Amino acid sequence: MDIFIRRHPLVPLCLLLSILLLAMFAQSPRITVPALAGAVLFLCTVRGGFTVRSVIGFLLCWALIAAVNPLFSTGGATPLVFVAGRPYTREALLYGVHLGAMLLAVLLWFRCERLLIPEEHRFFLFGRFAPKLALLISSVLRFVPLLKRRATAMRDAQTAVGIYDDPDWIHRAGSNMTTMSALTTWSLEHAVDTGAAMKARGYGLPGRTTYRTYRFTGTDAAWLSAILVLTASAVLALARGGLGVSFYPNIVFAHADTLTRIGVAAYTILCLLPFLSAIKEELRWCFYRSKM
Amino acid sequence: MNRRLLTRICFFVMIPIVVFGGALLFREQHYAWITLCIAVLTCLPIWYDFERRETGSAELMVLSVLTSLSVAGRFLFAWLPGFKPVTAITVITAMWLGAEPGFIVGSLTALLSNFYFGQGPWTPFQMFSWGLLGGLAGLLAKPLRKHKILLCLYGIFAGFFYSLVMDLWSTFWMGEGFSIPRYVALITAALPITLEYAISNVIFLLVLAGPIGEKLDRLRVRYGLFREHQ
Amino acid sequence: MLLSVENVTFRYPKASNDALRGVGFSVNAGDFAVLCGLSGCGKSTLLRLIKRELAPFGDLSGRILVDGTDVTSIGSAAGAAENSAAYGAENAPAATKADPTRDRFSAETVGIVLQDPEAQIVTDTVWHELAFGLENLGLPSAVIRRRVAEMAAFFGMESWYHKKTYELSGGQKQLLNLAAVLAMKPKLLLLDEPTAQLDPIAAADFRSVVARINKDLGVTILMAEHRLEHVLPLADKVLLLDRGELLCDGSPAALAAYLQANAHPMARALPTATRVYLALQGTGVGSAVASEHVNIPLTVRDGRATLLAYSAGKTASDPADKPAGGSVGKPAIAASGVRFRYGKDLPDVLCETSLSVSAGEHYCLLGGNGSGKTTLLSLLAGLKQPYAGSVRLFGKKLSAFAPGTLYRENLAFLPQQPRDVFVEKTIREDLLGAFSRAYSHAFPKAAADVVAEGAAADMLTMCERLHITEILLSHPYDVSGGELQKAALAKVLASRPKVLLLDEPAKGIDVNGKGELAAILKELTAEGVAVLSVTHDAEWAAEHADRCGLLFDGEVISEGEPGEFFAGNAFYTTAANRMAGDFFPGVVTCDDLLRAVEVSS
Repeated sequence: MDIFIRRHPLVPLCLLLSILLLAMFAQSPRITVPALAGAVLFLCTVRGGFTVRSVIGFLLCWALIAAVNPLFSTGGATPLVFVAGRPYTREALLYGVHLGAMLLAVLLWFRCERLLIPEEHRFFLFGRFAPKLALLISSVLRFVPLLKRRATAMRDAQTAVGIYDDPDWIHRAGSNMTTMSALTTWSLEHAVDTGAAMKARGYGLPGRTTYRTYRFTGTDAAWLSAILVLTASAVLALARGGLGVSFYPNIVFAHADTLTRIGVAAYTILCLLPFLSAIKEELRWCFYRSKM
Repeated sequence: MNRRLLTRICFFVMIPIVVFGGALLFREQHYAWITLCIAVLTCLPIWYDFERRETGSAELMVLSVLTSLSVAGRFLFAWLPGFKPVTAITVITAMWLGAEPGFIVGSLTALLSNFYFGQGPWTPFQMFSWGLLGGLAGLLAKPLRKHKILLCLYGIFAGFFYSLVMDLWSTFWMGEGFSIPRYVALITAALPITLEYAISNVIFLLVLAGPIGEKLDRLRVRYGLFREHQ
Repeated sequence: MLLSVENVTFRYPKASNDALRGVGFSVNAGDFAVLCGLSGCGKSTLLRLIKRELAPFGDLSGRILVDGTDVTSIGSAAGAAENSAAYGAENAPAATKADPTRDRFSAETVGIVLQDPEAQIVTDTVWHELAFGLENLGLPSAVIRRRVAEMAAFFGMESWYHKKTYELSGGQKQLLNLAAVLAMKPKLLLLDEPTAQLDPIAAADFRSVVARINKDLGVTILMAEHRLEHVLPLADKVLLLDRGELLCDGSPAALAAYLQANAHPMARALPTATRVYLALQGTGVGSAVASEHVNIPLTVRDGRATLLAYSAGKTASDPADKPAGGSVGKPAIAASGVRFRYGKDLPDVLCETSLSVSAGEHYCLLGGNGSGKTTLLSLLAGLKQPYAGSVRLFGKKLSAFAPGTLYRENLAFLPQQPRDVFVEKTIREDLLGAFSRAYSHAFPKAAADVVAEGAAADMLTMCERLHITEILLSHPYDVSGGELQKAALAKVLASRPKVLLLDEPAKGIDVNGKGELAAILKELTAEGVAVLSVTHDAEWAAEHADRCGLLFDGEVISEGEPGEFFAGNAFYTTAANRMAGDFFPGVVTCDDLLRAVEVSS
């Protein structure tokens, strides 16, 4: 997905951070509902958003959290049943439902991360501030697939000299351990060779620059200020206590004045931005195809 | 000069604002907020220090390979859930190369392996726990290398430490404030996994400490890497 | 004069012999120079001394000038910090600070590409890899952008510019390394056996790019190589190193004459055309030929011309007598109708593939990249399971073997990277482990000390047979490719297999090593072991196989003994056959051709 591929990576990063931090810490259905809705809508629009298995997993997780919460909190005025002499209350159950929704929203937004920030850009944002760390990460991302392949080859070689050809798990763990150890030797020697190749190409000379630099354009500025304004109004609503809700003993929402409504609306827009951008791309293609 | 000033301002002005501002803003969740801040903020100065220090190309690649090994190790043993060599490799790195490389390997493994295994709010806490376990092992390097028993104890400690940190965060985040019954319940529910962590740490440490240590020594003797840390 | 090496003598710390002794030569700007010699002759040491960032530590005398600048690392010892510890910590010289001016000069002026394509890649994406060196030089991002674009265009890598580096094939990786070095605009390009790990097609691609860099861009090239067949025609100048001494410095023709005159082992590495020409000269017939061809022929084309001139007036003679291939007995290992794919939604790699190898036979399975030959080998080795069809060892399905019996006295597999077989600190420990397992399997009731003694004795016998007793105490990563290959073979043979499977056994080994390996395999087949080697190397198959097969698109499409197999191919065949096919139809190896030439003269 490349909705933000032409944007400065700060744009999707700020968007994601705003959404996530508020969703994680605001503790209010007025935040949780738009967050969850935005994530679900976006993931349904893009390819590779959901799989059947992941949906089932998420729903089960939600149900479990909701059902278990009343066992810990006995607050709430309306007992539904009594479990081991303790009340299992409606308020606690609803609190659990909200808690599960919040967890789900956060998890789903983390899932959106890989679709929103193109992988190429992910580390180059802080490549400017931390070039060494960025290089380290880049080389780890190269080594991991390589090591996985070496591990398979080494395990096969060990199997075929007849050391660990029993299928039981002790042999399997043992063979994995031996592989791990052999892999260590191989990879450390390899590291020294790669280090030499780096040095031969001038690594360590003073005045290193970075190739990937992002120009911050007017459009980026517009996006970023929009995100900041929307976030600020949501934060204002939160700071004024307009988003507060207390679950025990009865569920009471704080009074929603105009500023609160504006704040909630702003947060909703924030959460819908990825979805709307995806739809826009989709429409653009439909329109384009109809002209072909 | 300018950049250093900027960094100082960042450290001494921005951080309190963020921490306290967040705590005030997220009234209901200020415990969770502060724990998150602690987890993230522990990493920053150490990463900053690493960034500023000069690291030779081969040293950088050795760190990269050790991090990759512990990420790949998570794959190699993915069929045994909870059984992963991350802590062991972090600790071994710290024992032979020092506290800072230990912290870097531990925290980076958490960040990068989650790109394969799934990011979530737990990532900062994994970075914090594994990083800290590495850093601590670096400070205890001498006794850990000398006594197998201490190494085993450290492995067990590491398993519990990791679990307790994770559960602490969950308790703060899920509950209203700190609820002891919830914390106890979470710890109890996670006990089998915690034990598995502890046991796998001990096994990995015992099996891998010798071979990896020898190889790191070989690098140090043959190529003169990581001399300043000793 | 771009590079001048003046009387360089070098000795590694604690070594008893000089690695280089009084080496002196020069290379002019724009030359393509080839540095040849058997493995261990000091080629790599010399290249690394020229590239000062990689210079090994040791006692160096003499001077090395690149473009008029002294790059020798004496005194300021850039490599010292890394290598001082080789002296042991106590008497290590104080590590002096690297010299940034000379380092920058070297980084900009001298580029190097090493043998292992994998080990030289630093980052995870192709574009970042191209930019890496330029970032190090501190170029502004606009300049980097332009240079990267230029390189991608010159190498035709636009289609894989956005790929991850781990998705590339070996050949692409090595091209990427070359492009990344070339982006830094070096004046001198050093290549240390850059094609040793590549298959023949990728190697040919690589060489043609190097030739283009030399001809179109005027970059001076110094290439270390022990296989001369393909590089000699490109070279303006050849340097022969032997145990640290420079024996010959001149044109390819001069080298050929020198090798022939001194019966140097490298003579066997000369191109087939050259060897035939020299043989004809030796028999006296050649003198007439020589007058017509002032230059010694180096390519198949020139070789054909030589043969044509020589056979003028003669009729095409019968193929030289060849011993008839061994009778095909009962199959030792056989795959019948196997199918395999790597995932449910992926295409079949092997489809209804059948293959059988008999006891006492050396079968070579040839095929290009992606033909499925490595997959077939791992099916035969029981490491992967086919989803249809079966693999049988002496008529019994592999899956029917009880755990722990298949790889004992039955089947053995030598992987492409012999390093993968070793897990211990010394080769001895690894071998001892393997031989004790084999011994206690053969004598289950033997006491521990008897096992230890018996295993040690068995191991020594095997090591003497393979001539690897001197390297037993070495670390598996410290010995040469050929030695490691033999050591790995020793470990694999410990279980006394009746079927031996080899993956690219001849890759990256010099002529001497190949000869030794072939002799060992010959002994094994004589003892009745079935040997199957999977290879890209037509020359190897032609010389040493009893039977060859070609795997294409998951199917064995032709099979036969080397004579008929290669004689039937027009392209996928040996240089000797391509050269002499019209005159001696059955001739496939260089030795056959030499014999045929002798007989018919």
